[in-house]
Amino acid sequence: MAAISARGLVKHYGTGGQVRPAGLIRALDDVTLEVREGEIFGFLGPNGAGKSTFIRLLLGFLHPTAGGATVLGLDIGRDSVEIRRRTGYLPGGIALYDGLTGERHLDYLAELAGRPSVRRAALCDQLELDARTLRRPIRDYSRGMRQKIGIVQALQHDPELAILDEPSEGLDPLMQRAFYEILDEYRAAGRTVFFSSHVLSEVERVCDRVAVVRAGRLVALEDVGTLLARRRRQVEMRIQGPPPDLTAVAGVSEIRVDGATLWCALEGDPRPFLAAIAGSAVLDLVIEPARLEDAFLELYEGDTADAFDATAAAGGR
Amino acid sequence: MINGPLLRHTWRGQRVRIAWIGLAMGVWAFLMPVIYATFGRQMEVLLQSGIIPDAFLRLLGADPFSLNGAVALGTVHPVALGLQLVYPVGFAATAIAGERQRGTLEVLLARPLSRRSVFLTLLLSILAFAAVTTVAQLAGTVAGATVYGVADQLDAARLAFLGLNTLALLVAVAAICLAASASFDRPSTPIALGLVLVIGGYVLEVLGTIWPDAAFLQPYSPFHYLQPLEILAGRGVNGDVLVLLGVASVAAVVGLVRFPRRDLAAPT
Repeated sequence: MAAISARGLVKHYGTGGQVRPAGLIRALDDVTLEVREGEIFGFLGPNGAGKSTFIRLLLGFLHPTAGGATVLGLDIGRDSVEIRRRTGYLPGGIALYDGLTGERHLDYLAELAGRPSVRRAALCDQLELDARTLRRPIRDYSRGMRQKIGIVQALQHDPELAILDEPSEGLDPLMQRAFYEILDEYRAAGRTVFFSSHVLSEVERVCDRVAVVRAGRLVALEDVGTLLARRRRQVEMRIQGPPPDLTAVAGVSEIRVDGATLWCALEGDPRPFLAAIAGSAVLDLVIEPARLEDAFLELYEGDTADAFDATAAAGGR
Repeated sequence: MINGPLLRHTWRGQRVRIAWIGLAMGVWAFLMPVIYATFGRQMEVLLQSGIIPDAFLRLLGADPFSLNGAVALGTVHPVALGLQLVYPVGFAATAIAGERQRGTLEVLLARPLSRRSVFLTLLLSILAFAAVTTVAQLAGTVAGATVYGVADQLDAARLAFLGLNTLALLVAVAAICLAASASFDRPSTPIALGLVLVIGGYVLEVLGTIWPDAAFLQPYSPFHYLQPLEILAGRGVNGDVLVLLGVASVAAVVGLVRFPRRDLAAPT
């Protein structure tokens, strides 16, 4: 069973129609995806691309215009309360009850969840939230400490599925590392994590698969490894003697030669390229490592204006 | 449908404030029999002298300086109404829209509780707050009358009916303000609606009382359905309570239908 299964999910805001078509905002358009049980799934896109809209549809904050989805096999329209009973959610830029202490806040949210906080002690320990800190009112907390409370409240009852919106926002590098370890443990325990992020290096570090949304539409849904393998890498090579003929080599493009230096773009499997240069006297060879950030930017290449228009139109939703 | 942790959290967060308001309400109500016992005779002489304009007398009620008159005046006096309406207007109007604006509604609704449950739990909380201030008012009245030896002039059943009618008024206002709070993303609009309802309603009621030509406006005021002097004189009508409970029910149904159907986009 898929942890999350969305089928043609559509969310439009505003009036639209024939009278005022410009009033329609397409926050999410025909999104179909599946998140498998036990995986860490990254959901990527710039502000306003539709990431939070998708999450809010899953949790019943928004109602779909068309399409549907199930979470842990439960329908988002009919079984929203049950979905939230079995899910942990960290909203982006979480707001907390400033008048409560950290401990009281976590107690209150655990009471509302109706499930024992079996993982609270371990999470607080890993995120360095000691008893003295938890006894202080939240109004005295820094942004990073609030984010830690947000992470603990989302995971303390050991939910089957964690939905985390920008989870490492505000955490220092040490705490980010601690958070990644928490996610690794969570995955090892067979739990599922769905998380949206802008920080592509962390998605690359922790996620098994990623989906990329642009202007409300899904533009990629792949294993992180496949996405990286598919991306074009820049190659720089110094050669002694005549340069090899790479024009017919699969995956090679944008070939430029200047004296003893050759540049080209390499996409996909590198073996045909390596075979083609095998007979050349290569003095130096640099193949830029594949990074998710570049793959992500490539997906947006040429459509940046569209993406940012959509961002503005969706008003950050 | 009522969520225990939310109810306890709401109570715990408001208990000091509601205790102070209850105390203030009790002291205010205590003073009404005291004023009657101390100045009632002189005021009666003053009234009989004819120097007070009729319109002002109508505003005070037909029997302003009997014990019933003093208690009735104390019930609908702006000070008493101000204290009574702090929660039905101030708290109700901000209960949902305020949490939405602060972003804490996200955290609350991420738990396994339905929006209807949130609405009903908050409405029940406000009903309980209103019950505290109403009971404090009745207790203050009885205490003042007992201390000044005029308790025998009070009818317990009529006083209880006055409490019920007052509570019905507070619940009607609270349900309207809470339904508005559940319908907007910012508390400013529900607060404005609540103030228009209360201040506008009070003005319509007073205007209709002192100016007979404007009496046709009075049925549009919620305060028209709380007539303490009539109740204490034994002429109270169940219809007023029913009208107020009817308004409260309609407003609650509107809130219960509207809130779950709303889209709650990410706070900006």
